[in-house]
Amino acid sequence: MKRGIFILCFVQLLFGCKSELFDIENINGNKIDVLGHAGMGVSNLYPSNSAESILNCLNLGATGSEMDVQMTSDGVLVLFHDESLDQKTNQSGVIHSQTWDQIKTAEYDEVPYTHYNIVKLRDIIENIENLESFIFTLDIKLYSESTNMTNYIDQFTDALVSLFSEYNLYNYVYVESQSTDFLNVLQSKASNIDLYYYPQTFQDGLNKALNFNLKGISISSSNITKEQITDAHNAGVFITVWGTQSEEENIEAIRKNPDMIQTDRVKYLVDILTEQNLIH
Amino acid sequence: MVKRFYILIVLMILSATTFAQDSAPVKNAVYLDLAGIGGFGSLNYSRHLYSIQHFDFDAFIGISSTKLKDFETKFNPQLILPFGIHATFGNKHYLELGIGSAYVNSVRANNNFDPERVSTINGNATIGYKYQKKQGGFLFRAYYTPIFEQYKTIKHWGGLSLGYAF
Repeated sequence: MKRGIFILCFVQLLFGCKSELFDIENINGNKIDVLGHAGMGVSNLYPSNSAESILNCLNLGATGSEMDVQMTSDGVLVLFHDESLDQKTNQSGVIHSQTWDQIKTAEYDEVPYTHYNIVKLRDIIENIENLESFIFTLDIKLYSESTNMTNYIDQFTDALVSLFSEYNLYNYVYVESQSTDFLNVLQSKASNIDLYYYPQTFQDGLNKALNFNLKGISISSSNITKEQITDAHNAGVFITVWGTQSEEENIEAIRKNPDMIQTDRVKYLVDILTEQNLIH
Repeated sequence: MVKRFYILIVLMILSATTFAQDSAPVKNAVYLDLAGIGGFGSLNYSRHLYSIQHFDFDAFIGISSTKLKDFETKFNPQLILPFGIHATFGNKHYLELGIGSAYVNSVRANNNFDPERVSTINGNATIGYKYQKKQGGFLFRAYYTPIFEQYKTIKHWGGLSLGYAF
């Protein structure tokens, strides 16, 4: 009897340790694109959106990376998440009210002895080898308190359209925004750019994606269910999920069958999906 | 600002020695820092230089690295070598003051996004508590350390040490 229980426990342990097998059903060829969240994610020693963080993410086998994009007062697109430089760098002030020359010497200083700079989107495009073999999502950060927001959006979209046109980024660089105004203006200027809306709720996201003919929705994994993702897929809308910081959150996200995951655990997610040939 | 801080520490050490008499502890100590002058942690060795009554003076050197591989995932470690002098006042329970530097050789992306090694010299000061018996044994430190990055900006930091004196 004791021996039988022992064998049962052993078998349970053996199979309990085995990796879960996933059966992905989505509209992305039944595979998932793994994008780093601003490179290596928020808890990495490389600062989010730094060149080092994005390069590290790509070198670990990710499909690509999400990047946060802002515009300086002289129209330069730069990668940075927060509105203000104060908390994460050795400089202060907001990006949209400073020129590139004013902020180009800013160094991320959250961790001692590291000296990583803010990077221009153009530098990423020009310097990453085989850029077109990856996928990038540009998360547009519209922090400007400009009274003429229309003019600001116009300038921002002009800068983006110019880059897309100059480097022919249409097939592998997507744009996501919380602002449908921004997406509408961009769409009117370049209808061949794939656009994602970043909603607060799934239903709002699905409605807007369908109404504005967007490629997809980018939403927190905790704000969407597997059934809702199926509904979106049935309507031809792609789903990107984010907010997957732990291993469990990444597994939960995979189970929902999204088309793309923006992860904070790049290596972990790449490894488990590569093992089952489920990554593009 | 950095210069003033250093002058203050040196003056405190000098003034302490004015009232001192001999009393020597064990010569060597090895300790592991959690955070502290090495960034996220460091392995350190300190050597006792001399004692005057309840004042002891040590020199220390450490080694640390926060990344062993670069962003191309190749072995290419960041290297941090903190070194300096500590002055401690007390008997078993010490007030510790210190000044030092850290040589840092790290990897960053150059203009073409290739890995490039960059060296910097950074300053630091420490003020904190230290527990260590004169005859050696268990060692504990808890300290605040402003790190003067490239002697341009200050990063407020702190550390805990656990080690062994012999």
